[in-house]
Amino acid sequence: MSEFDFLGQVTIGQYLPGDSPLHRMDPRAKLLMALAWIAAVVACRSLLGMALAALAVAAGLWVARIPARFALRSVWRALPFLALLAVLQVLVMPGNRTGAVLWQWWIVTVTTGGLLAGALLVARFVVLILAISLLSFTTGTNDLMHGLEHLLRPLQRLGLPAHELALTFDIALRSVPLLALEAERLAKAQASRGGEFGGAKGGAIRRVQQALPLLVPLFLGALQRAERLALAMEARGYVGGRGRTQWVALRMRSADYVALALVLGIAVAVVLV
Amino acid sequence: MSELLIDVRGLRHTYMPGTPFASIALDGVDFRLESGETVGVVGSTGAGKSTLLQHLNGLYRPQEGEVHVLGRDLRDPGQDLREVRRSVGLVFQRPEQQIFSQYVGDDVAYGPRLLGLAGEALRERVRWAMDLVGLGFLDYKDRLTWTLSGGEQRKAALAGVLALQPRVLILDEPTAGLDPQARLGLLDDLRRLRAEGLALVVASHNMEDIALLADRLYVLQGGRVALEGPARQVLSQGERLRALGLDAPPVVNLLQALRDLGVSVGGDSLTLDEAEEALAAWLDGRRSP
Amino acid sequence: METSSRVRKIAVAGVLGAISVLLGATHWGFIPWISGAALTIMHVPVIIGAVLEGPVVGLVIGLIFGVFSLIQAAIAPTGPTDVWFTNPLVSVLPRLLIGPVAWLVYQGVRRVHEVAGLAVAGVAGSLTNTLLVLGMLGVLGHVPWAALPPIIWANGLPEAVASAVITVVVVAAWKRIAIGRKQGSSI
Repeated sequence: MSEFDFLGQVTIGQYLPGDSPLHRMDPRAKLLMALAWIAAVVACRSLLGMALAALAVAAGLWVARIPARFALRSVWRALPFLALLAVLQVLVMPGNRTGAVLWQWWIVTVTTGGLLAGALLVARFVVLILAISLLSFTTGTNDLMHGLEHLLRPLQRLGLPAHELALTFDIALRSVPLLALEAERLAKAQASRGGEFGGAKGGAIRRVQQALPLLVPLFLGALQRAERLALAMEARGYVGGRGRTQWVALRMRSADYVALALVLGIAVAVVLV
Repeated sequence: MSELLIDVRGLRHTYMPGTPFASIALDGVDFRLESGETVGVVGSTGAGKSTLLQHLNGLYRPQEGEVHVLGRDLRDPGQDLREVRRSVGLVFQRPEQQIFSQYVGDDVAYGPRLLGLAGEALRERVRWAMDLVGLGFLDYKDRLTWTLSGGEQRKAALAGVLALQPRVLILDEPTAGLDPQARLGLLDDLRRLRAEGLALVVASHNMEDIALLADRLYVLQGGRVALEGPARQVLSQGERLRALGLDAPPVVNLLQALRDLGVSVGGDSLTLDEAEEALAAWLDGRRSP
Repeated sequence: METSSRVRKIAVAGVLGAISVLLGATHWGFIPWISGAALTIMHVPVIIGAVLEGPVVGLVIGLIFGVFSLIQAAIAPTGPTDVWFTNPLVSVLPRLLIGPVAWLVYQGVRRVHEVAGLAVAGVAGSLTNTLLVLGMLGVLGHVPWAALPPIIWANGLPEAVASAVITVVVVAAWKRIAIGRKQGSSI
């Protein structure tokens, strides 16, 4: 692998093609489910609720027929860090000194409250990682964008420029690989001028100056690209989102509503338990 | 006595090997550059020109095959590639996009400064490079880079590479995007560099540019060398070039069309000037009894 | 041809958002620093977008930055701290304010001096990022409050300086403003 091949590194999410019920589900439902999930998991305070959430996510992964090794890969990578954080939480954080004291030594106090906090921490992150991964595995970025735009549309009546927002995300998504290619070219060009990067020395200003030959042309090129894009959009008669119709029509089926209701129910249960 | 500056044998390169996106860019390419000559590299888009060029200045280590540049073996893991990049100058397409300094002088000085030059030596080097491309040192060094015209910016970028004083200069599509006058100016600069003894490698779609500059020519297709030889010989093979997705220089096609009409213009003219002379000779031939 | 500001804002927000994603996904977004933890610059496109096109554009780029850092923390974590960023309260919410703050500061200071306005906006935007993210980590109980000031000092301040430099150089080049009193190259 050459030191210059950037494209391989740039991935947003990970779509695993498949034909499960979750794959076929309306992206709006999936987005709402994911949001509800994340909110529930963040708000949950009991271990039982976490267990329920974890179970539900596992069920989702099974329904989507995601191979276990993929699902666990991100969790696996995060595990050492999670373990470290959990240990810190249990041993060092003062806010958790509740419940019975199990062990005491110097500044380290292990309480039942601390253990609970540590376990909650690990569980929370694992479920979050799995939930976000599940959404990413089952929904391609195009579908996500369509879903997002449809969801935001009712808000347009309140003044939120939903279409423009979704278009912005779309432009961002498409521009990433193009900019990655640009960046690769720039790195090669500056290297061909004798440029050296990575041999860091000196204070903040010095180090930033070393990076400027890469960053400045990257930004300027991007801004030029934006200007050309805006010109192209206007030349094609783009006038904004009001009254705009869609090429891709999303339709919620009863199965989508059922799944959504189910997940919302579980999310509420997770928080209340 | 000519010296072999670059020697490439059996070069192979695959992008993203081992992934579903793997693509073979070079499939066994041989290439040579001797001192004092200008070699052209042509081929339709995707034929592997840029990949080949990027192997010649040490941006890539060869995956398979041999690459020797100025006596250095690029397969040797102990070989510092940065050294190679400083002795072989590679100018990318639209090099003005890599300018990042406010002032022209500073941008040209970037490379030599990294080489360790400072003070008066640095100043002299920048002056030398800028004069070489026709940007008067005192006139241009304090100009803001964004106030320069497209052609001037390109010259400034070229000066930035020349300031490293490479023995070989490689150019990828040097005249792309330039207006006609700027293009001619740049071609003059390149011919001047050639006269100064610099060996050049030029990759281009523009067959006229190639006709004006190249001594020898490589035609790439599908990552392999499809045609190779002295420029005159290769460029006169209109049929073969068209079969490879290219074309002969306009002058060659024009003279061939005339010959097909019965005008027996002789010679192997590649440029407008040469064609003029050949036609004049033919006209003279017809006038004399 | 003058483009309407609405269309241009959409394009700029999208493209600068993409830069933020690119910086976050590759090592270009991380300037190696003595403390071991790198200086990150993924928030700089947010500042630049806000300065060039206004607080709403800054907000949107901040949103893109935040959501991407959330996704990346979940799917491809690269360090222990990534785990915290799977929580949108840490990764998304604080980033929404970077743009508007930078814009406000820029509008205020530029009346005195344009380039200084850019620099201070860079500092302000970066500090907003640092303080709000760390603050949220403190509120959620992930990091003891006592540990925060040293991080701000060792990492947050140099990061603010780096942001200021990049903001000034990029925006000045884009708007064709010469920086510095010295009118010419150093050669």
